[in-house]
Amino acid sequence: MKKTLKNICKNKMFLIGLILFGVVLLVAIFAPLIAPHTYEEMNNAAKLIGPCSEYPLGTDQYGRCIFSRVIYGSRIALSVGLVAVVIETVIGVTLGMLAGYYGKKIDKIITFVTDSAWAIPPIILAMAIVLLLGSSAMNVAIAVAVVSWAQFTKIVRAKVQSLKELSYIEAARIYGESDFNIIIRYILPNLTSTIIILATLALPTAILSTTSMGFLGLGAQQPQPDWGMILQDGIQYLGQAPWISMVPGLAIVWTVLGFNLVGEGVKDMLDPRLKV
Amino acid sequence: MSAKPIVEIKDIKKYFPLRSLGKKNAKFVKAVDGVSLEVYEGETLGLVGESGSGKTTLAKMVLGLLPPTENTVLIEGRDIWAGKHKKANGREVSAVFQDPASSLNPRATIYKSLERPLLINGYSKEEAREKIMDTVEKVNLRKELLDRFPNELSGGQQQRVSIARAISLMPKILVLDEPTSALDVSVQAQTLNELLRLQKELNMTYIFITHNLSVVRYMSDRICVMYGGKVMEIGKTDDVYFHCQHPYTIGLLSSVPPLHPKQRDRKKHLLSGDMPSLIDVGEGCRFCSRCKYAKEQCQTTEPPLKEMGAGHFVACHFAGEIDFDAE
Amino acid sequence: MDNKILEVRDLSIDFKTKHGTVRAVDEVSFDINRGEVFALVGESGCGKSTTALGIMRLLQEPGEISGGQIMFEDRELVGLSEKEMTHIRGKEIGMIFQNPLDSLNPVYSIGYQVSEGLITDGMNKEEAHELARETLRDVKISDVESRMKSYPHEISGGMRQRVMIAMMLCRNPKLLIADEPTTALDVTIQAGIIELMNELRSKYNSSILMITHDFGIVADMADRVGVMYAGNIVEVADVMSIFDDARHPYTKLLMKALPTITKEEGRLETISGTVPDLSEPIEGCKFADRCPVCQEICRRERPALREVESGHLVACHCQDAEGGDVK
Repeated sequence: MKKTLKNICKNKMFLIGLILFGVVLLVAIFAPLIAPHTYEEMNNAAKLIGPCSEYPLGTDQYGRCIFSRVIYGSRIALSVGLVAVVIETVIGVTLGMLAGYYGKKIDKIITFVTDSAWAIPPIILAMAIVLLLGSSAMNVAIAVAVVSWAQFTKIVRAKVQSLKELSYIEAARIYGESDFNIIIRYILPNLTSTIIILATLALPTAILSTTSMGFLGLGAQQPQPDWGMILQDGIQYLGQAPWISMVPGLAIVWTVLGFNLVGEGVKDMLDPRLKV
Repeated sequence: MSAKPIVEIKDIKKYFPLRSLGKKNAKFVKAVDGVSLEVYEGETLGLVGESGSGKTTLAKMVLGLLPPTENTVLIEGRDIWAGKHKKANGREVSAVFQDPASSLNPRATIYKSLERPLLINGYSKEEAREKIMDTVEKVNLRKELLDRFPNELSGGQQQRVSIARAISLMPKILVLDEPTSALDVSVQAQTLNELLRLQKELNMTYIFITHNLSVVRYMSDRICVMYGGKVMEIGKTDDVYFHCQHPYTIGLLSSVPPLHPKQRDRKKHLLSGDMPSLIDVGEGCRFCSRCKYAKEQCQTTEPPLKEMGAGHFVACHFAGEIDFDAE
Repeated sequence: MDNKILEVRDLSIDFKTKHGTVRAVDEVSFDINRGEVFALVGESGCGKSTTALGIMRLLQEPGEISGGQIMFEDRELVGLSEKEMTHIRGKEIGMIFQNPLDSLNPVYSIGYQVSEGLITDGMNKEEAHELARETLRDVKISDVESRMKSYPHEISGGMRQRVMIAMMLCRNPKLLIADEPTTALDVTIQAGIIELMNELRSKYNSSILMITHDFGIVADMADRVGVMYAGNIVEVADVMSIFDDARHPYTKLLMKALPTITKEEGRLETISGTVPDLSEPIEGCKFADRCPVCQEICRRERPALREVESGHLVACHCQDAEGGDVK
């Protein structure tokens, strides 16, 4: 444990990432304590006003506190991103393991599907899915997962292909272990570091994708404080109230940067050779 | 040695299809191309040959890991490839592999690695514990190693764990695929002695795969020499080692580095060239491209295995006629 | 004195790791005469390869030379700048590694790689290619013209190692270091490489430092032998004395662990215990724990290499001046 801590301190970029990430996490957890207002509270007397003591980062066209909305928005960004990553991990890892382990026809079919999924422009596919399911935060998570599981499949498949050649897998087959048990008991545990790395690296991308969907108006609906949506709201007032767009924009940069640095750090620590 | 065959293989074949873009008549790599063998109860059969000779593929078919393309393997008269869902059976045949490090699950403790095969095969937790303690003692493994992970063990210890795992189900046949080639000389000696002692104690039959001819001589009762997916010569260890009749065997034997500098000037029958591709095998003898005694007949017809003495078979048209010592 | 091409004196190499300093090579001394093959033999982890890398000054972090001298002809290699070492590496001391595929650059043709060094030495392109062709012929590569244009992945493992040898030989180094050059190859290919190296050493008059764990290769090639154990050289002698008159208990036991017999004739000798942990300081002889003739003094004092007979050095307390064992 001490050694891990020492390693973390040595890797400066990882440390910075961890701090950025920690701030976002704390903000999301303690949002009601930090935010001076609720995210939906409107004040007709204070529309589009600049930063002041009452509204630290100004208000939007309905007189809602931008600071509070962005703070609450971190909850949406994190949860939607997390759900998207969990779904894509489950889909990607399952398909990757099946393709890598069984090979032959199953591999051919899964590889074909993966390649096809990769060939469709992700944002268009995601939009189509949300339009089909209806606009909501969770549907965005599903849509983002559906368009981005392919890289999990590719990497997991390659890793499983090399794992299954190892003698201990052959030995397990000799002792009568079933295919299902081999995958669950022997292959999956040896994939954990790969999966952790892939998931941490996928999280910032997922957050970026979900906020993009929000920006396009496909995510959480008003008055939910989705970062992408707040950014979109501000665009028409860019001249008179630039803070409306800037604050959620900075929040997105902050979060994505933090996660990226953490992801890189985790990758370096667990498996420096893995190419993603 | 009793004369009862425990493993019978007749004209077994394993072809691997080459990747071709949907063509009907795809090409094949003929990894094992018509091998017939009998392994007798309690003996050690040494399987030797260069890499690519098909010895490991053959072993995998005996272990139930690779289905044969043609014909089958009989163990105690039972066809192990009969029925649709063939499962390998560690109670009958088990194996120890070459690389001790990759033979054990890196995420499981030694104890877990040993326990799992027993649990699958119907042992209760308590029975398994008893059995593990018993087996660990048999292979002289210290008990405190049981809670460690494989990467905390030396290569020799890892190989002992593999052996313990293989014998815990009391198999009748043990396939040893280069079990000592990754080990140091002194550890190799320990492991080989251990294997010989266990064979006697548990009355196991060994199929010992190796490219190290000194090791195979120490371990085996009979030696089978393979080349290009076929048996070239098979017979009692001393017959093959001292009275070999196949030009490939003598080439292989004289490739073995001497065990004393005095033998430096021994007569050598070095093989030139590499093993030919097994994709387009010709009509004739597999070895003829590297054989300095090859004649026209060797190019056109494949030599059958001829019995040259009691239990000594040679697949060469000119077996017994070639004088290897003549210049 | 002038007959010596390489003199290693009290060479120590340390690896500074998180868990402490591991002394992989501990005050090793030996010398190589002109035109001779000196084999450094020992089991994995004994420091033989590290010694070779130390001589070439190719140690990877965190390994570093912490003491001693390496005299190559009349130059001291320890302390030379990296730039000066580049002139010596390849040009004056060549090195062949275990895995030829890793040592060849996959994106350049064989011809380019063999002649590259010559061009660095100042030869013009035509001459360099001509010499490369000639050397490739010397290492028995057939169809040299087309092979010059081949890439490393297109040729077999044995041929790659021949190319490596040609690459080293064409610059005519005074010393060739071969680190397990045949370990990754089949016996038949290994035999060809050894035969080739034996032929070429007289033609090129190179001195060779052979690093190996295989006593067969020692028996086949070496003139003199140094046996290493846990970072120390325990015995140095000419090859006949090592095989017939080994004095150090470790060497003796190793010789008896070689599988030279059949199982009917007896059992192989084994060495009990394991190699000591080198990250902790050891007082006395490092082999003491495993030694069958260990005495009280062995645990207190590290035995120095002493000459027990002309040219036969042993590091063991249990040797009197006349060379006999002290019982």
